[in-house]
Amino acid sequence: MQPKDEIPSTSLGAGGTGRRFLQPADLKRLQNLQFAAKLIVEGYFQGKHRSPYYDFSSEFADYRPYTPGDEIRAIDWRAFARTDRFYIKLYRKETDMNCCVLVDKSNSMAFRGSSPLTKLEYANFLAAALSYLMIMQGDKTGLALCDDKMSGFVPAGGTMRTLQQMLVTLERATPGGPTKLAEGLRVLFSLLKRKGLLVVISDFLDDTSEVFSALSMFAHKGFAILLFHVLTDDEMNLPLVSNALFQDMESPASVSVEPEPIRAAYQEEMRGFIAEMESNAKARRMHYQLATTAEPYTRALEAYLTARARL
Amino acid sequence: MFSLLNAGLWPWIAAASVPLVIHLLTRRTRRRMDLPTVKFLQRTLAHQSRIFRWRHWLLLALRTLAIAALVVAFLRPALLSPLAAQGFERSGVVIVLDVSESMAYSSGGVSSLAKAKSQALSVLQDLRAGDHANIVFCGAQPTSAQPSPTTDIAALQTSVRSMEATDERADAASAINVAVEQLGKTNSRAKRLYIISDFQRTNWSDVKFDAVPADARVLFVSVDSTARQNAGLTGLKIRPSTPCVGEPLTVQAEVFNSSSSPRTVPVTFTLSDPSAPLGTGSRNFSDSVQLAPYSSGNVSLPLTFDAPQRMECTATLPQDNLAGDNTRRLVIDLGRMATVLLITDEDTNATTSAAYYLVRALHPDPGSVAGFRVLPVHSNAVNNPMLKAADAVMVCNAPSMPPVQLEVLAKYAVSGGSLVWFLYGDRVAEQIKGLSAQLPKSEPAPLQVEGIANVQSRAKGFVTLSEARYESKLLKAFRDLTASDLGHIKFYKFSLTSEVQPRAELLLKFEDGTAAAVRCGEGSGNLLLLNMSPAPSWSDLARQQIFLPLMHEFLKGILAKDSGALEAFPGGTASTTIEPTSATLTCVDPLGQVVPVTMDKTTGSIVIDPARRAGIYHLTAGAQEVAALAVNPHPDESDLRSIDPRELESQREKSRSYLTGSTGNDPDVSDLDKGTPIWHYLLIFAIAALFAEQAVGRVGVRSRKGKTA
Repeated sequence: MQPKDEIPSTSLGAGGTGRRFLQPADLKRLQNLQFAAKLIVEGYFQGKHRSPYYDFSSEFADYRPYTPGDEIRAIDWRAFARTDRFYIKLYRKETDMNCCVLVDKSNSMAFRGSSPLTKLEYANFLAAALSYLMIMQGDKTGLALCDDKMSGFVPAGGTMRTLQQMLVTLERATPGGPTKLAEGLRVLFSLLKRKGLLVVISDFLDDTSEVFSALSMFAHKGFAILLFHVLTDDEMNLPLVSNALFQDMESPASVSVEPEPIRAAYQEEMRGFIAEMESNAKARRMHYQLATTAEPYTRALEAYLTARARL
Repeated sequence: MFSLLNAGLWPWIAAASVPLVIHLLTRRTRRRMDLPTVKFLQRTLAHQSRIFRWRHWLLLALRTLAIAALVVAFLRPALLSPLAAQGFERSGVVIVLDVSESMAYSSGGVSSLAKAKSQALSVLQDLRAGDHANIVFCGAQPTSAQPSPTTDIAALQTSVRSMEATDERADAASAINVAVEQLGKTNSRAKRLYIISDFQRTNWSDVKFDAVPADARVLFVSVDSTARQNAGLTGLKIRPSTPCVGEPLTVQAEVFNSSSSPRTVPVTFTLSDPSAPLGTGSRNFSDSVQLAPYSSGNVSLPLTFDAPQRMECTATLPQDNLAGDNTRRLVIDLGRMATVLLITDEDTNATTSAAYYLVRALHPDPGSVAGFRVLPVHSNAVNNPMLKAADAVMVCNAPSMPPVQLEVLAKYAVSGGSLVWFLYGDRVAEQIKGLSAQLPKSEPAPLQVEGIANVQSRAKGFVTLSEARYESKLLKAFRDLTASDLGHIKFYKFSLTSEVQPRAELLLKFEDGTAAAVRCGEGSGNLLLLNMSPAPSWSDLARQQIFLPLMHEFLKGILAKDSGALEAFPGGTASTTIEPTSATLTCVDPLGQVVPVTMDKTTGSIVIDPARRAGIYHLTAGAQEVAALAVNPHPDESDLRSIDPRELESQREKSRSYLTGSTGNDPDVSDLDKGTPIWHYLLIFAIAALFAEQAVGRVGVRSRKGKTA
């Protein structure tokens, strides 16, 4: 049962459609990022519309039936002559967008709480799905892992081989080290020569000003930045225990407390943190998306597509 | 300072440690959990109020206090009573237990006496070993259960358990005196006097507690403070008091309504003789009387007897909560002559004495029952039983009467007696003055004697009566006679008197204006002063035909107001007069038991002291019944209105009195003995602590912006 003042999980926007797609718990069983990423992406687009990621291009890709609103010039009249039906010719869209997904793999990302996935597992699935989607759209995609340093990097590429490398890197990622996201971003900034889309998946439990200071460098360079703020329900609402000694995962600090009397105040504190993140992102024209580990990836993918469309 | 009335539960105080144990166990079993957002948790805690930071300890303290208070409340703590003896000092306790008739009042199947006994037993049970105690049973003649206070508490408890309600009135003042005497016999400094009673206003309102030692604590234990409903017979009289054969007489019953609402009370008269001439031809006669709250009313039964006889008349009321006053008895003795006690120092056989002529005038035919039975007695030999047995008292030339007798005679008159005083003889002026001093200040003697007038030396040599008040019932019989019948009497000497007081009735007046006969009421009795003497040296009264009827009418006139001899009540003395006899007298009480009786062989006055039971006492000389005496409950016992013991406490004017009771909100006497119970305050405290615990649990959590959550 959800506590009264608990931050609503519907804040992700999944709403009643949350169960239409694969849940994180289901993905956990798959253990294969490539297959999971494919399931996530195709599951998301299934039934949305009949023309998922095709567009007009010089490279023919497929036919589809004519629907009212399509341009007349796109009708394949030869096909009409043979079949007496209107078909539209589809071509693979050409792009030169470079994307980079930065995944935070610090110790704090190993927190699972009462969720089926740790934050890092969730981040990995999300990164895999995004990478799959980007490559399937023809974008070049790269991957970076960081904790207190850059601990993994896959240069951007648009082939399935690149995707394979990225997924292997993600699967081998283990949490470790304190969160120093700003450091990772600065290292990454020096590695990315061409502007594009930067996706950061992290719990952002770092110095916020430092993080946004580092992100500002990307913004100045013309990067579109999409921030996925991964948190668990237990982090936002405190675990449902009567009394506990809470140990910090990246420092020796600990707190003994009865969660119930201060739950509301803590939730407000966390809401303040999230609001601060969101306002900082908006102020720098960055896309910010809160993602809890109990939620499906729907909103995350929608956020990506929204950001992608604006580029 | 404190005592525990339920100390057996003391081990349960360990329950107060339960919150602490739970707290410690919770600390040990606390879960260790990882949380990346500890810094936010720390920040949240840093924003909380100081109350919140101490909240754990506050809650622990409140929970511990609540449980401790709850457990202690069940231990029934009490503030130590100042009644309790200090340290190892032993107490001296005297219990005055009211056993009067009103204590037989029963409500809900429990009598007032049963409640009182329960309280007394409770007091005795709480005494410590070595404490001295005694019981004073408060009846008409209060007595103590033991000669002196004893440590044998079991014997006292047995006495209390065996005690039954008597038919007697409570003589509260005497009971207090006996109790004070018993308290004086205890050597303890911690003296306590328990007074356990229904505190009838009629018995307790005038009681003084001045005799109670200042260091003694007095506890008033009221066993029936609620309004009690009762109807009782408070009087049964016959008029005239000495009826004659063929003379119409009236039996009058007085009924008292001791309740707060008006009621109609049926009264049934029953005569012991089935041939009695009741109007209905039966032995029973019933009538009803309507009574206002706390007021009296009368029901009368007219009778006429045509033959000398002695019979018992009983008046009864329907049964109610107090049975003792529902029956009242009367002996109608048509063969009995009214007895006149003639107090004189003269020789009744000397023809020159006034007493000689008075005796013969009052009982002219010694062989018959007509007239009055005269008992001459020397002024030195008068005693109370004689007075109680007499229907009227005459004083004629008693110069050797001791002054103390004046007080006795004054009390006799005030309490309902009929007193005739001849203003004749030596020291009469001094005696009337002394009598007046003993009478109530508002009702002194109607005149004073200032000397003796001898008119023999005057031209006529005598004076006559010039004025008579024929409207008076004492002279009404002479109204149809010519005035000369009274005016023919020649008086050679008479006493000079002062002005007659306006409240007195001037019956006769000499021609020089001096009062010759004056009647006035004294209390509930009558006083008739006759300024004349039948002695030949004073008048020719004894030679006049009118002398005999005049004396008879005077006596009948002052007897008519009362029923003759004073009423007898249970626990007091009952007396009458018979013809002196040498036969052995036997007296049988209403229960058929023989009781001791004394007789004055000279005067024939019979005394039963005490007459414990209400009912008819039969006196037999040999095989013949010579008299019957009715003993009835005291009318004061029918009025069940109580006096608030606080009034008695205020009368005492000392602060060491305590009030309690078996009903209402008063504390139990046993608890009072042990102290003032405070368990209910602890219960309230425990509830308040639990509320505070809830409040502290909710208050004190602040939001991030410093607002109270």
